[in-house]
Amino acid sequence: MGWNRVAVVGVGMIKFGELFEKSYEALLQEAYLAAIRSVDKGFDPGEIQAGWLGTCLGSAMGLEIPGGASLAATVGLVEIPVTRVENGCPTGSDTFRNACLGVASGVYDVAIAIGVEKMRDKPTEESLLSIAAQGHPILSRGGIAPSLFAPQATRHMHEFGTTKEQMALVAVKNHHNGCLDPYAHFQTEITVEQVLSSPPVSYPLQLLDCCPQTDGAAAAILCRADLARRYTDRPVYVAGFGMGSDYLYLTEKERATEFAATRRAAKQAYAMAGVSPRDIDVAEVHDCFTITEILNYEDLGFCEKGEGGRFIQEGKSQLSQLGGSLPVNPSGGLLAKGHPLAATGLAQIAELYWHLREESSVSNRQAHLRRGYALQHNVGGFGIATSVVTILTNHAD
Amino acid sequence: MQTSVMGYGIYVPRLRIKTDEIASVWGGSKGGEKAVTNMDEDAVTMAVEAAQSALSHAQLAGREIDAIYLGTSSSPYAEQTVTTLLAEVLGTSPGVFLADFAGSPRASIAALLACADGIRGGRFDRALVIGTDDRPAAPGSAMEASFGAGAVAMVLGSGEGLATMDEAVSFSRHFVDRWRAADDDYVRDFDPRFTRQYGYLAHCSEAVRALCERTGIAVERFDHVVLQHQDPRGLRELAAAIRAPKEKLAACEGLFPAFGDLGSAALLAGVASALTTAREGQRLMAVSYGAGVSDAFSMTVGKRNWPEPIPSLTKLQREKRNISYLEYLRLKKILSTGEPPFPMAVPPPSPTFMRGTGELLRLEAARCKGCGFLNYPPSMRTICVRCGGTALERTTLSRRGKIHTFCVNYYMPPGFEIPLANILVDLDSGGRYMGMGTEVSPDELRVGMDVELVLRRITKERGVSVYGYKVKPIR
Repeated sequence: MGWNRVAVVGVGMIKFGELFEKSYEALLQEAYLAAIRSVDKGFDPGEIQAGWLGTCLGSAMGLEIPGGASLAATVGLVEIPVTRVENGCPTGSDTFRNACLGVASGVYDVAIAIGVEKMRDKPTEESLLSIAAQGHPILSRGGIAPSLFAPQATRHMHEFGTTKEQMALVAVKNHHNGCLDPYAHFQTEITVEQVLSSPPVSYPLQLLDCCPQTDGAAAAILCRADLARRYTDRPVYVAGFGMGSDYLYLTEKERATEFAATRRAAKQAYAMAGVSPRDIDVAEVHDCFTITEILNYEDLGFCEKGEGGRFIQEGKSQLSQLGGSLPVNPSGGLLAKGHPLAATGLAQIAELYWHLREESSVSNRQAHLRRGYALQHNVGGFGIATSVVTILTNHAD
Repeated sequence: MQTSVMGYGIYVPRLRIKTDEIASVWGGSKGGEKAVTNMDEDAVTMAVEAAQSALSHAQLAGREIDAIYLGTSSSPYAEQTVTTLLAEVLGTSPGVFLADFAGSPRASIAALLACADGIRGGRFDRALVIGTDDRPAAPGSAMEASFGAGAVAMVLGSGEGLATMDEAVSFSRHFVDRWRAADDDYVRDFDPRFTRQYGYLAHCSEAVRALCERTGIAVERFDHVVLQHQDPRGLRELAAAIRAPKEKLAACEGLFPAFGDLGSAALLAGVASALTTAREGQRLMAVSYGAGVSDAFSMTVGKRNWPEPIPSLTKLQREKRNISYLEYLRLKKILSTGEPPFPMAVPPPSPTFMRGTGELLRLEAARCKGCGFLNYPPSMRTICVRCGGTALERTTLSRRGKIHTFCVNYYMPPGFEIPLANILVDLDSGGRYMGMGTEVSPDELRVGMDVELVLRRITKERGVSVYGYKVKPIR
């Protein structure tokens, strides 16, 4: 292929949560320092040649300065170019993807991708509902974040017999995983009964079917693969990535039982990596709502269309320690770890980096590595019309 | 030229409040109940419902209408016409003549008589007259217990129809009856006894006397006497004053106890009820009143070969839902969080809405001539999203369909109903529509359920009422 292989040599994230005491800039700086300090053989920030800053609500909420200079100026890297990325819920993974492109193109040897989101400086209603003011003034009116996913749940239940209990199992699994992840927003076990009896948010989704609103930041340091050994003896490599789009309105989408953007992104990523879903040992996927993870199993090719409910029910996506054949969201996912929009994708990259390096920090949830491939996925944005899939590997070739 | 009623339609909101329920707070019940507009209804949305029903009753399409005459004392605007909006929704031609009458609940009768003159004079062949009202009454006032809400539309035309418009007379004297200043929230009343005696009874009696003189027909020789009235006492006293026997009042006396004073829709509703039961050749007298003016006019019933309009008053009454006084106060925004409604993405008077008129009011889509896909909204789709074709033609989507999928939101900002359904509809015409539900309970929603799209007020911002289609189950 006509691109330089790209390696990840350091990742960092902060404890996700309602970080009322920390500013947007403080979140960014903490994740930045964590990434720099994680590099095994030490790392001089002066080696960074370009940066990509993902932040999503900056433009919607007017609180932060959303331009790329927010990164350059607050960590003392004013000599380098920084591009700001905003692409809905996949902002973090698209930030990583753009940094990959920068290195893969040969223009830069070393780059940083960082995603940061301050969700909780505004009341829940305002941050949640800023999306209700997007799009067509009437056709989009009355929509909130859950109502971009709940109609798919209703239709999936109608066509395939998927149940609310199966959806609840996703929340139960991910909350269990979150208890093992010190970075997660929630560290509490829950039961199916608790999910089903939690308050309704957007039928058929209950409160515990929904991810929380969370502050957070995460970062990754990327370099040309042939330079990776300078920084670590155990680099993780970018095997492939893809990004798919879809129609903006449900009235235009071909089916209400899928997120076609995910299918398109996955197809590109699998082709670029030269692997199939069977080669994936562990995945961090977008579970903003329980139904989203069930659709992801299908759209990412982990199972057939309509089989997602059974996939969770049969325990296939549980941790390896619990017998799962393809652990999904060992970090707790968006449901338990939290979903600070632009930080989410990079935090998923961090989790997979640790699993592929079999780091002691994830030994309590370490995925059993068979083929050495891990898959990261986000889907969202207006109309859930954007998806990014990244495939990482510990193979050098 | 003979001028006739060619069809009519009635709309009354689904919600009712018993006057006993109001009296439980303020005292003074007189029994009965009144119709109440939902949060997303107003004089305009009710006018649309009645007009669509009347056009369908007359078996006419909107483009066959030459004029729209609207009478209301509760237009959402002091300045800005609403007939332009009605014309768009009904699909009339841009050359249609539009007239907005206002000032009192008699506005619709001024509209009716002016329209009949227009047809008689040969200017129009087919025209629509609409009376609609949703008058605001202060909490605790007598008017709160009496002001109902509803709309009636009639199609007038030249030639034979359901009934002919015959003679008409008027009687007026200036004095201050009920009034609402441009900056008043509610209709005001100085002394109901004075306005009933000097205003209502005296003016109506004079108009009736003049009509009998003009036609040479005494009151007792009319088969149906339809009297506009503010309450049952007024009806009783006027009937006595003009010596109209009770059995001739049958058409109008049942309306008030069921719906309250329908204002500009009241007399037209009485005439419509009379037509529903009338026999060929019968004579009808109708008497309007509002703010110092009374009109009396006569009609003769034609061949009895028409069905009731859809929906019928019986059906509207069967589907009613009674509400509490607290819910009433919330709907009327008297009980409010004080927060302004969640703003639109762009301000309602902006060009976005002008460009979107086709999709928002006429429910138009852009059909791809290549692959047939119905692109919606057409103002934002000039290339077919399915095949990339650029040859698109405007077409009108059907207002009926089946639910493809839905959700129900339980957390919404100010200005939204909770719980709020978002419903994706497979339209009968092909194409899909995604809209907010109205008058739907979460438990009754099902994939595959039959629904219709109804024009409702989506929000009001900067004083501008924004209208669009919501999704309502067909019951």
